[in-house]
Amino acid sequence: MDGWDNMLEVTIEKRLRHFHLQADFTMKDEIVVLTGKSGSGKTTLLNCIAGIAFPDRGFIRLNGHVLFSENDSVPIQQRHIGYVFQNYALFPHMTVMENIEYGMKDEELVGKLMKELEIEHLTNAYPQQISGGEKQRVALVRALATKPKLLLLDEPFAALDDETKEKSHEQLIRLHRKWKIPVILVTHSMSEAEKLGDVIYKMEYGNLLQT
Amino acid sequence: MDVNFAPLWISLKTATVATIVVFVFGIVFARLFARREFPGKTVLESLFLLPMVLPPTVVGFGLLYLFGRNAFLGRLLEELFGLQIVFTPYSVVLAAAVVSFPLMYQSAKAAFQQYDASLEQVAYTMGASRFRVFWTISFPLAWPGLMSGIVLAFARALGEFGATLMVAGYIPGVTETIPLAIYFAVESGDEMTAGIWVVISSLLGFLMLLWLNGRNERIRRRLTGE
Repeated sequence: MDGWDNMLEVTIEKRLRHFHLQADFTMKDEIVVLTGKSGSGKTTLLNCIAGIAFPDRGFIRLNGHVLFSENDSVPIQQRHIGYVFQNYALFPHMTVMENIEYGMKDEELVGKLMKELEIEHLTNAYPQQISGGEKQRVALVRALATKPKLLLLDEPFAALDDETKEKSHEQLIRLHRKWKIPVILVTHSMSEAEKLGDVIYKMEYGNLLQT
Repeated sequence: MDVNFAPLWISLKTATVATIVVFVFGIVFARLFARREFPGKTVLESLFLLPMVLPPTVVGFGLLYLFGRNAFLGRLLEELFGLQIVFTPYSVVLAAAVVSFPLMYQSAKAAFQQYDASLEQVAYTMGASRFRVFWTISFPLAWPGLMSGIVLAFARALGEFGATLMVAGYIPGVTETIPLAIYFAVESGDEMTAGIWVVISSLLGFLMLLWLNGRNERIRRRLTGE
């Protein structure tokens, strides 16, 4: 099975309100960037991979295991996919630590990650009390704490100021070098795409085009 | 002055039981319906809310028609469990539950719609079961709205008169709630007793609304950071 390690294969079709979403790509443990206008289907594609939305046709395979096919769909809970939502979706009624512990698999690893991303001092703070950059890092640690086999990042840097953005980019590159899992990053910014992406796809009216 | 406080206890007991029943059904249906579209949903929801717009006597008539001693459900319950509904405290609970359900349902549905759906979705991606997500995410986030529903449903249950009179009748010490006590005290010319119940009733209602509004104001201030 070695050939399947850290490999994501996606061949799907889904009818959306104004167009068809069509995606056909394979990736390894690299950072794939999805760009494109709002409403072009980027988030829907991430949702299909995560198991939040369902394609009409096709298949999704991760490390050789079928996550979705026309007669089979692995429940979202068993897909082992880390997902950082655009709004970070931190649980507002839980502290930073409680957020991170929610799906935590490895305490030691989380300790290291929190140190590396400089959020150790925030453990007892609530999401409303921390900055945008801190929220983004907490959401990232929370997703990685589940030891995902694939990481989906939906415009994680969009709400950050330039300086914080710059720092976050470096952190992502560093983390990815250590983790070596497939990462799909959605962004509007072409410069961000060029800086972070090993491969860049552009989404246009539901069609995925490699640039 | 000699006042029999039985109506107060009967009212509090039956309204409490009715509110618990309505709370359970209310949150189950509200959570199921809050973020899902399916054919027939609007029809079902209109049925849920119907008791709010119908005259209570129509609700009472309907309940008698279903649960009366010669009615299908009434006979079934009596034969299976030896349970008589009409003219017992059960019917007081039943009438109160039916008229207060719409208030609980409306509040609970709004409560389950007001937080971001991505909070539940991200919890699922972290491997949490539906049960865990409901109790650790959905329920606590909806709690302020659910609490409003509980208070409104309880207040409505306490105030129920028309349907109660039709299915439970006026049996002092058994089905005599505060609203019934007021009506029959006035009927028999005992305005003193009626007046006492009117004051107690108004006070209870006022205190509940005062508490609810104070609480909503505190939540608003916390959310806006004032």
